[in-house]
Amino acid sequence: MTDIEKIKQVIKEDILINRLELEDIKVEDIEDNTPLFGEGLGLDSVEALDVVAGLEQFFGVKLQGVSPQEFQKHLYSVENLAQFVVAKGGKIAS
Amino acid sequence: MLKIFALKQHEKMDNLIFEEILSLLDEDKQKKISKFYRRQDAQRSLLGNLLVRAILCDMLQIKNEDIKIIRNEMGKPYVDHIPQAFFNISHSGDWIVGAFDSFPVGVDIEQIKDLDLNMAKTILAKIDYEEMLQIKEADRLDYFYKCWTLGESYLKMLGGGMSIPLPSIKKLKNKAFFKNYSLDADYVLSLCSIHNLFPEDIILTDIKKLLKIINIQN
Repeated sequence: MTDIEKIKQVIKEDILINRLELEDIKVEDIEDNTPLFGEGLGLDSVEALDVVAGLEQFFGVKLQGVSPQEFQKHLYSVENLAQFVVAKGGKIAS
Repeated sequence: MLKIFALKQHEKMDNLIFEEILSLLDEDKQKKISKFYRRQDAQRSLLGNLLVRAILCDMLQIKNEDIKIIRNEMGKPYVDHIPQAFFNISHSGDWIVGAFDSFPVGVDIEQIKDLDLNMAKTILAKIDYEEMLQIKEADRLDYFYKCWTLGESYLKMLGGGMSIPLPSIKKLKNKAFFKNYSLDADYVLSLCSIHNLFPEDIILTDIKKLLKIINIQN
């Protein structure tokens, strides 16, 4: 598994399913480009904050200070989140 | 005149009613609703759309089919060709709320759920985070949600999207007017407007009433 694939796996399993407690959704249900908000997973704004906190916990990357446009873009899907983590040099916390 | 409506969603909506409401929406919205993974998310979105359409039909005295909802680049919806109609929707848990006015308006409702409050440091303005640490632990979650809904209602009124940390409460109150409503225990609701003529109460409505409004206009 490449680094980005591992990052996507952590985002899906540890952040979206376990941290957000999406009990009725399985890792394999979440496609990389599924929208997280407004459709698809249907997350709400407080869950968005939990995703932000999860990124910091698992990869040590922060979203504070990014513009609203960038914020929306990074949180669009697992693919975008993973690309953001890679671009920020985030590492999977051991 | 600023009005705020609330609609409670029940566990599982009858399929026929689901389809009836779905048929009132434009094709693009119907597709989006069908893409939700979870039925309750689809249902909440559906009811939010029903609320918007029914209240707009009533307030503007127009037919449902004449309402075209479009979105700005950040996703804030508005009514095409009717620039004086402002609305905003929020949902959380069992509730869907909608605010309607002839001036920009923002609303946010959140169900108070247990949260890791360590993340408040990242999200709240420094001054508000420090204030939160001064209050007793049992009240911190309520305080966090109050700050969050005030900030969200303001950002939703502007329609420019979310960024963190949020502006401080003090800053927000210098820029707009706010009112908190008690709709239900375990929920916080904030309404934001550019004027301070807030309604006293929330108008409670239901699916039957909303469908009736749409049918009358048609």
